[in-house]
This record gives sequence, C-alpha cells and structure tokens, in this order.
Amino acid sequence: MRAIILCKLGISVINKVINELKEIPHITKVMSLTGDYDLLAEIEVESPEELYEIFANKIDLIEGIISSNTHLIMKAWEK
Amino acid sequence: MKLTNKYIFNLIIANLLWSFIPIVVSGLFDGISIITIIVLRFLTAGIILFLIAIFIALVNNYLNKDARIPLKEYIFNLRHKNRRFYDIRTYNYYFLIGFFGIILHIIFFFLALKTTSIPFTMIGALLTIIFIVFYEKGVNYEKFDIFRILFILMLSFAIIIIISVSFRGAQLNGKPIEPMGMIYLILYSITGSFLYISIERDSYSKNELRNINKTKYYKIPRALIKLSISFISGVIIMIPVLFLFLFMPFETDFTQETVHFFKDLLSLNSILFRWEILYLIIFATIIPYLLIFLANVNWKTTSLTYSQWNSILGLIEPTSTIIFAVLLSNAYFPHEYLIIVIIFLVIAVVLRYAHEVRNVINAYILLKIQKRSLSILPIKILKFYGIKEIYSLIGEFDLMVKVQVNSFKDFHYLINRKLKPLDEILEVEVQFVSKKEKF
Repeated sequence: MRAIILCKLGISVINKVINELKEIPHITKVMSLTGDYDLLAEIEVESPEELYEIFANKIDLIEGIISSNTHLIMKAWEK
Repeated sequence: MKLTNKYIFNLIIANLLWSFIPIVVSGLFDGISIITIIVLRFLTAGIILFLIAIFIALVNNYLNKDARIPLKEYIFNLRHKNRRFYDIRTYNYYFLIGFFGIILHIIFFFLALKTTSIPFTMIGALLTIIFIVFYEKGVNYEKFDIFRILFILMLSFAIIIIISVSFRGAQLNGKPIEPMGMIYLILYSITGSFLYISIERDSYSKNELRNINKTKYYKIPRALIKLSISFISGVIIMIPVLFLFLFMPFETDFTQETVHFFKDLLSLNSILFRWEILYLIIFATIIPYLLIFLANVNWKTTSLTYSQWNSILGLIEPTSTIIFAVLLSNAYFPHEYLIIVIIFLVIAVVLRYAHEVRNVINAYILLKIQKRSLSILPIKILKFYGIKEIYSLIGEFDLMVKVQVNSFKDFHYLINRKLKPLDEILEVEVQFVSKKEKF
C-alpha cells in the first residue's frame, strides 16, 4: 500500500528533513512544495502496522516537521 | 549523471534511422517517381503497422485475460470528438495529419531533395523547429528566455553556414540550386510544423481512459492504428489530387512525377523489393515508429515529459543527416564548416534542454469532492490536458492530481476553466513542486 505524507516544516530545516526522509528505505519520493505544505513524501509499505512502525520510530522523530497530514492511496489512474 | 529513462535511447535510435532517408532516397530519384516511393512506403508500412497493432492486441488478450483490449473500442474512438483539435471527429483528425502532415510533407521533402542538395534540404528541418518555437510563443505564450533566444540564434547561424556552403557546392558541382527548390523547402517546413504541432494534440475518450487504466498496452496498438490510418488515408486522398494536376493547363513538377508514377505502376513489384524501398518501409518507418511509441507508452515521468525530450532530440536528425551525407555520399561540405555547424547544433540541443527544464511546471492539486462523485470524476478529469495521474485518497482530501504543463497559461486554463467550474469539486488546493529529490 502507498501513502502520501504532506508535511509542514519549521524554518531552515528543509534540507535536513529531506536528507532524513531519504534515508528511510520505504520512502519512494520526496518533493519540496510551495503552498500550504512544504514537503510531499510518498511511502510504500506492506501493511498498516508497518506504516505505524515507520511513523512512530522514524518520521515522528525527525525534528523540524511541525505537522504532517497522511493520505492512503486507494486507487491510481494515469494516461 | 544517471540516466533515469532508458527510453531516451529509443528516440535517439529513431532519429538516427530517419537521418539515412535522404541518402537512401537520393539513389531512387533517377529511375522512380517520388509519388511511387511515397505510395509504396506509406501504403505498405500502413498495412504492416495495422497488422502489428492487431497482433499486439490479440497477444495481450491471450496473455492477460483480466486486462483484455477491446478491439472494437479503436473503431468507436474514431467518432470521438477531439477536444484538443477544433472538436473535429478523430477520423478527420487522422486524415488531416495523414494528408497535410505526412504525405504532403514528405512530397515537399523529396522535391526539395531532388531540386537542391541533402545539406540544403536540412535547412527545412531547422526552419520547422524555428516555426514551432514561434508558434509556441504566439499560441501558448511560452516565454522567450535567454536560452530560447540563443537557441534560435544557433539554428540561424547553422542555417546561414549551410546556405553559403550549399550555394558554393552547387557552383562547383555545376548543379545549381533551383529557385523552386527553395519554395519546396519552405512548404516542407510549413507542413512539418503542422505535423509536429497537430500530432501531439490527440485526445482520449472516457472509455479509452478506462481501457488505458486496465492495461497500459492499450496505447501501443492505438498509436499504431492512428499512424496506419493516417498513412493509408493520406495516400488515398493524394491519388485524386494527382489527377487534378494531370488536367491542369500548365506543367509542374507534380505533373511529371504523376505521369512517371503511372508508368511505374507496371513494374511496382520489382520496385517494392529494391533495398532502398525496403529500408524506407522497415528501418525508416516501422521500426522507428515502434521505438517511439514504446518510449511514449513506457515514459516514466522524470523531470521532462516525453514530448519535451522529443523536441530536444529532434535536432539529431538534421545534424546526423548532414554528417552522413558528407561521409557516405560525398555531399559538398568542407570539414571545417561541418564541424562549426555541428558545434552550433550541439549547443542548440543543450540550450533547448536548459529551456525545457526551466519551463516545466509540476504541481499537485488536492481536491475535496462531492459525495457520490468518486466513481465518475477521476476519469472525467483525467482527459484534461496537463493531468498526468490521479490518486484517490483516504484523508483530509479525496483526490490528488499530478499536473505537468509547460506554461502558466495552460495551468491557469486547467485550474480555472476546467476544474473549478465542475460542480463535483468542492475545494481546490494547489501545491507547486519546487524541487524533486533524486534517489
């Protein structure tokens, strides 16, 4: 299963947060954004438990992430 | 630099295969009418591409029982109105591409080759690129940044050198460049610009988008059928037009070529099996188009789109044509000037790349949508220009739309004219991508 994590960051931490996110093997995509959110990360996991593990033990510990908003992907369409 | 998309090589190989066309056809001009060459190349290639399309669809249906390609959809789609091309029916769109973009384009290309020289004809390819740049500036308001201005300058320098060298070569060879040749060259560029602009403006119907999301292989037979219908219809439309030239009171190059074509009809079989014609059909039509469609279908959205890379690498064809003409068919072009032209064109490729990288807008649009619209809305909006992918989400937002466009005009059109007027969309939140991280 895939999920999208939208993050709001503190000041001057973007590079640090990106580097720490890139070290997590389940993260497949990281992008910096301009808009309400500062960062978008895509994560691929096997189960909700694994998603919880990564959140609780890795993403939640990254300093600089003020808040995050996670969405599970149910289906994708492309052309 | 790690090349993330190996399908770029497909585009390079296709361009290299095309660049041998002038050398190969020049050997045919003495005995065979250009109309015969065109009829044999496009009719045969059209039929073979059509059969390959059916074969791919049948193999897919045999191997992937769950993701079958409904062949009748390709026929139904012909009546679908192309919203990106003046709302005309798809079959009319294919006919227009076939006649004006392919057949007339190649007729003028061959006539220019016949009446001038190989390097001189390549000016037409460079002019086509310049025309398209100005079209994009006028229609899409694509900005003229420093890269684009320098890009046009580099092409112009290359054109000036090719013109002066070609006229000098014509003087030395005693084979002057005919004034009509220059007119054919301009017509070749105009029809070429029409081809490159219109061929990108295809649109999928909702049913087709459903099929694409069942199997990505739906797109390959579709692209092959599009090309095959364009080829065959272009040839069929050309024949009555040729008759018109026969009955005109004045004689043109078309009249001579048409008379010659009717004479060639008697020995069509032996002409078809000449190696030059077989090269044109197999290596200059079937294989390159299969390569580029395969690239198009499997293109991974990296920093640039397929069409952007296509426009960057489009300069390979004229550059390598001139090189091959000098090396293989002894076209007059002093080596020092050849190196200068190559340097200008290589710089042009780099400038084009720099321009395209700066002019791509990536964004994610987060949508909150009305209840009961999740089953219809994604397919409805997926057909809008610029939308690449749609994710259905569980969370604060219902859909996330991945957008990639080349100008803010296109972006504004998508958001304000296409998405916001939809009743099913309650809230739109745009997030521009400022940087994609590499892994």
